[in-house]
Amino acid sequence: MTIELDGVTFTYEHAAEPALSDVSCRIEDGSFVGVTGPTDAGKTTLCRLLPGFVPHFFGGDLDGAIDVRGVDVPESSIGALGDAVGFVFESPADQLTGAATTVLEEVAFGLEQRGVPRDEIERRARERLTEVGVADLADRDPQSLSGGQLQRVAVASVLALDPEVLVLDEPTSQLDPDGTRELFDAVSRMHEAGYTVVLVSHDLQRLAPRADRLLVLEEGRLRADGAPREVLADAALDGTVATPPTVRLGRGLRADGVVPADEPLPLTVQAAAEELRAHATIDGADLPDGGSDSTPAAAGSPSTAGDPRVRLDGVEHVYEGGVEALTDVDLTLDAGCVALLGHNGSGKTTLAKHLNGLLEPTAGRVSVAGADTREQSVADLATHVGLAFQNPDEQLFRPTVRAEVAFGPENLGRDADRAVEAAVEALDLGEVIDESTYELGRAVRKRVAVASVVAMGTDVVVLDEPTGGQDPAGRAVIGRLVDDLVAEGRLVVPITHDVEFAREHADRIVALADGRVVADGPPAAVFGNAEVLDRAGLDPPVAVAVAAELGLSGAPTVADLRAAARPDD
Amino acid sequence: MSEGIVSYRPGEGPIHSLHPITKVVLVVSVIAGAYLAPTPVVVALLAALVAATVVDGVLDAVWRPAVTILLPLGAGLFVIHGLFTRGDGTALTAVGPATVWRAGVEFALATFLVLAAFVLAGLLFVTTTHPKRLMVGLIETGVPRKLGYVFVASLQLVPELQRRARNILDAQRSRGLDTGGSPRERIRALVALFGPLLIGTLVSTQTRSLALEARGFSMEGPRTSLYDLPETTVDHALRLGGVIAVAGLGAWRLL
Repeated sequence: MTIELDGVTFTYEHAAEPALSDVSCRIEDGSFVGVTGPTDAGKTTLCRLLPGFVPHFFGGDLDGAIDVRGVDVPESSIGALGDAVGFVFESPADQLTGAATTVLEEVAFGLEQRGVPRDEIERRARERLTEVGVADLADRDPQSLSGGQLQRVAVASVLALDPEVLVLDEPTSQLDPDGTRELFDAVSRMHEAGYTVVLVSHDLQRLAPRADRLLVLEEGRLRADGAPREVLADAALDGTVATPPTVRLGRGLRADGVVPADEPLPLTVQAAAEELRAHATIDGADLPDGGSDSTPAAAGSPSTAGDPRVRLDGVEHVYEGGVEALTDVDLTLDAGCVALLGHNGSGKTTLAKHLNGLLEPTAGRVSVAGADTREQSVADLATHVGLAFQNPDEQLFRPTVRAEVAFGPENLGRDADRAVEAAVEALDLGEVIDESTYELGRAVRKRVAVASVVAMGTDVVVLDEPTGGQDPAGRAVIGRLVDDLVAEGRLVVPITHDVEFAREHADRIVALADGRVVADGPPAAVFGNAEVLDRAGLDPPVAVAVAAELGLSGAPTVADLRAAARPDD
Repeated sequence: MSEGIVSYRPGEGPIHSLHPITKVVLVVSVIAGAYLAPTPVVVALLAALVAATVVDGVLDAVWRPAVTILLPLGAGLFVIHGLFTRGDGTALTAVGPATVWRAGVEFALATFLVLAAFVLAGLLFVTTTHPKRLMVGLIETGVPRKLGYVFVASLQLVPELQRRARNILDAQRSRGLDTGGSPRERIRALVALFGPLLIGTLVSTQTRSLALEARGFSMEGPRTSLYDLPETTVDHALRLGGVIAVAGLGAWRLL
């Protein structure tokens, strides 16, 4: 038995264009199918077909046939398909039942609805929690869990119903690196245990080695369908999918004649290191010197005479409940792109909220443009510091993109028309400027949220997870924006889990762990220091991991590695 | 997160282990009984409630909200009735130009004791009754399943909405919105808050209803529960005792 889509075209009610056009594919039992492609390519719609959410919840015009393990989806119901197909949503918290006081109750919910005997409910729920590696959370309140823990509870909740197929729609886009790794590992175990897995992600460095097939959707059509290695060999897809760094390195080495062209492309760090070891020699001296210390770098020193734009002296922040979120933080931020890194709960967002006065230090002092933040209102500080939040849904509220972006500059009494025009262009939103923000997808809404802060024209721009949920094109737009703002002389502070992005665009990295600054220096120095990365709970960028695997120090980029690789004779 | 909201406190005490429906019956009995009973009986009832709170080990969770609610209430009662309810005109004492009337103080005391019984019974119920178990108990006695869901879900919605509203306000203030300015500014701030709060809640409700649907919330057929709610002889005795006590007090009143 399999899943079969035959000539499926689906147009949502009130939509002008079909979300899926003539998609045909067959998913064999027990396979792991990765789905990727740009924003609005139809990935979510494809997922929604399998448990019957389309057409039974999201109505519209459906043509073609969908058969899930012998069940005709359009003729069935969501409740009935729930036995065969488990669905994990993007947002960890929204998919909870909202009526469970413990994780065990959450997982038990579906079993209760099916009238499973009581002693079996608890046994099965605990078994599933163990399978996904969160058995120890059984008695916790779901609302107290991290995103990564919640996503695994969500997986356990759908697994409790014994589905044959597990569908996960961008399950890691809101998770930190630890949560992402844990989820991918759990899903891999499910695949090994015999489940059929369909997983949507932009994170091909993690997805490609695990999946046995990769589907690429673009504008509702199936653009590519094959083994990940074969699909990723096609450089024409580079603008469409996030080609993993190891594949880019592998392609380069083949183009340079270092590695024979017929060798399979490396999908993992280990495979990339392995082929370099087998076919090339890299002299550590040919790699740019990253240095090994992590003392504060020159990049953040004041570019002009006078007060630095932002200065933190001995800052401590203890929340009302007694949680110490920041301890003894001394930082001077003045120019360039200073990326703030650290795992969830390390204090990044707490620190960011100190930069514009949303939070005041419980000890120490924060000054912006020379003045103590305690003596100014947030509205006053907004003339100096713009802060874009992680979740666009908690930020956007005006009817159109144009009005939304104009809100900040209007409040500050600045020329809104010009500011809107520039910000909209910088974030590639020209096509949607007069559209309703509510009609846009999350990735585009996120860019609107960033534009609405950039338009304020502040000297300091703080961006919380600016690349979260962005496809390669969106990520490139954000990257260009950061570079342009820095070139204009503004201070840009991205808070990010995206180490590749930080490696590429930051001049300085500040890494936090448990509310303390554990590293502060140029990207090459911080990423080249394994001990610091470990302390901050950060993954190194892929190229750095490849170098480390080869026993090389420093923090090279893919291009550095490629340039330094000398073919063996 | 939910400061100021009294909520369930996990525990193993004797009140915790009562069947939730027994506790519903007892709370209703206490409310009706305190209303009907003469003051000495209300005092005994209060003593019993305090004893139950101590024995069950939730005193530390109950006393602070109880004082917060009862202190201003009691003060108000004594001031208003003490000064303005003359009764037969017997003065208790005089404070400056004001006279404190005996009948007023007696009435205030009686009312206060009744209200204290209400509040204590309510707090004891909330801190010792697991919401999910209560939902299961209610459904077993015939309350519609969806109503039971709404009851428990709404308990969790409040802290979630508070968190969301805080984040939205932070985001708007970061863009120069003055939330503490003129009335016009405040209205603007309110509009900026409610848009995303409503949309965000609708979006998550859509996901939630899909997730519930996929897990079979609307399926036909019998349900089971993770929780076994045993009814002991103590439960039966307490329910019966509560009903008989209220009936007895009612009869005493009528006679």
